Amino acid sequence: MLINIVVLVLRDLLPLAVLFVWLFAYIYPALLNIKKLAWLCVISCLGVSLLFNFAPVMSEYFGGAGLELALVLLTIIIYLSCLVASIFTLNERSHLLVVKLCFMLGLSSFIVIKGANFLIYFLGYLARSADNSSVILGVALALGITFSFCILLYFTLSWCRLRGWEKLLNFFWAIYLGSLLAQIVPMLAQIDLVTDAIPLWDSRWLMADKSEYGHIFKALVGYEATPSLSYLLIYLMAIVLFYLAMLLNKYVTNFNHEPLNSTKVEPQ
Amino acid sequence: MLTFRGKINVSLWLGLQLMVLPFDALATNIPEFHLTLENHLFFPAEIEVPANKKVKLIIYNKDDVAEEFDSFDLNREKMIFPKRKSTIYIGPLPPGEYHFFGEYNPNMATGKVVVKGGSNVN
Repeated sequence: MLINIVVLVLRDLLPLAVLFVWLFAYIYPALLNIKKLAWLCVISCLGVSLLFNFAPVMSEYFGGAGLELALVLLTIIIYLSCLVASIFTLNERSHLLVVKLCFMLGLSSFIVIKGANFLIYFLGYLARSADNSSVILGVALALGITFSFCILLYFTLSWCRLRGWEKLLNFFWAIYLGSLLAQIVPMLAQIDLVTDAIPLWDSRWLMADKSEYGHIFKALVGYEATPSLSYLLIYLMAIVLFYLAMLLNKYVTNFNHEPLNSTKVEPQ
Repeated sequence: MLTFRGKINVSLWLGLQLMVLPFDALATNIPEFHLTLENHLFFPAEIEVPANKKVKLIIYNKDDVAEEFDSFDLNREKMIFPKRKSTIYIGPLPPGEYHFFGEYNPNMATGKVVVKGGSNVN
């Protein structure tokens, strides 16, 4: 029970904490604001309670694919919101309203998915546990691991930022975004919208998906012990999309800042 | 002649039908297998499915508490809510044994999918 609870917290709360660390440390430090966080909290709580209560009903819609379809839709929203907002903030336009809205939408959707999932499983364990002390101990242990890991990640990202290693940080952010979007593949495979029967490789001998390290690496870079071709393709496509969006933004910014009459006037 | 509201209603209905259509179509082509979860046990504990063929697994949870269908071999995990049914698609798989279990009762709720035969269905 203790290990199950630790793994559950790492599975659902660590990815959330990692996203917040990325935003606070590099992508959108302005999020560290009581008013914004309070709004986020209210919206997310409403969403979590809605998904938690309607998940059993949704799971029977569309021939049993309702819940997966809703989660896929939310995951795509998270990816697109984070992509659009981060493209603006990385190009020093974090003051735009669209950035705030996108981050609110993406973050609240992520909290809704992870929060509702955590509640469903946590209450399941709690209902079966004769001794609640192991549950409390498991939560405390996992929160300790999560906080320690996030503090380390925060200082690492801040250190890289201070050293001016933006290209490296952008690369890891692109990988992170790729790992976010690739999460739709196992859900789509479960409802037969993509095929993932044959994995490309099997690295369970090295690190199992459901181990503590497996969850940490999944939260960081989307580690899968038995990834399918579709998983890898979506992962790479999401990374390429990030760089294309960065290029497009740079092109549009340069175009807008170019003077209309670019011919030089020689001084007399 | 349809009113504006009527047109919206028709469009919504058509949209909904288009969304449901792929799932209905899939349901008719893929063989179905049924599993029941009762008193934290899977019935039957062993199901035989054809090799190299996609199959639909429908799991009924007759218990009062939720359970998660979990399988490392099949790479599937799905919550089965109390008194409800869940659907999972698996395969196409090569012949062999693929174990599954209930996340909350891993010692009691266990079973396996036995993939048999050599039919070459894509």
